[in-house]
Amino acid sequence: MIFKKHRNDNNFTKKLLKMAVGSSPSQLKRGISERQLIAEESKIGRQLFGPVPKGHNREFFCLDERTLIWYESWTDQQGRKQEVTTRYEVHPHCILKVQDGQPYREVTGQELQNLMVAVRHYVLRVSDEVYHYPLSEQQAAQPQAYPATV
Amino acid sequence: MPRRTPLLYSNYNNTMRDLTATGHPETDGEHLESRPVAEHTSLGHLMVDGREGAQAEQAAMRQQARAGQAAGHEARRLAADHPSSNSERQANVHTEVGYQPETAPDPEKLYAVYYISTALRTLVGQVRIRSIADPTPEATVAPYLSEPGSIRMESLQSIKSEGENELAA
Repeated sequence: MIFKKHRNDNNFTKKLLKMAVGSSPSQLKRGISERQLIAEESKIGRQLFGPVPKGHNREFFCLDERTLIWYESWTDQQGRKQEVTTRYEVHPHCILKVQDGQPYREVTGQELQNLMVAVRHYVLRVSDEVYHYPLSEQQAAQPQAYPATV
Repeated sequence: MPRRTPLLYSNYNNTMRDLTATGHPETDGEHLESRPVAEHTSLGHLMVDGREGAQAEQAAMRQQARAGQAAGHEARRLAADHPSSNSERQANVHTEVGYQPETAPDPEKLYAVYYISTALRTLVGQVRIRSIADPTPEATVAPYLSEPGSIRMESLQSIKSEGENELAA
């Protein structure tokens, strides 16, 4: 009986956790809902390139320190779902663009400039609106922007 | 039969599944053949958010890059005036062995890469990871947790502790 009660409490806690952050306890032990933070960041990222066409689903987010993702899906005139995932990989001397079924291509010229502006807005807005820690434009491009201690 | 996902990208795929209601695209040859390369996914064709200041920002960035290039020229000139410098010695070695240096990298490109790389490191390595590892209500409560009706981070922490204690027990 005691064990049964304990199991019920445990389930209740798990449900509460899932309602609160959408993560299981095991996920929390690894790190608290990074997926959700990325999803929140993407809500801002998808706004950076103007209005999303009707029927399109767009995501733009920073996956990790070296990767940006642009995902776009829509339904074509034949009713088939179309999807394009673009990955921008930051390397020491260049940025590579990878799309499904396409060869790696270096991002250069105007596209690189646009990406830089997009990242600039993304970092500034996400820091402010998602994490409530506004960065100045100088801080956004400085390695030690975040205070060492809170 | 579903395609096997390379281990390297499994994490990325999981993230994409979670972020999109439809799941990650199962790429297959037929799909790729019929898939148009959407122009709207190319950043080269877009203005960022239609901002009028974008062009001005880019011009400012180019100016900074040119300033960096000018500084590089000055450094090379100074190095030429002082043959004992490392760069001069290397140049001599290269000349002796017939080395043809590659085209000098575009300073604007290097500046953009540096800027993007640093900005992402700042965001992920410091702001996001810190928010996950050491949440503090003042600085790192995400809006979805602080909206009315949702659970504040303080409550979340206590719940998390309880959950972990129970798991440990």
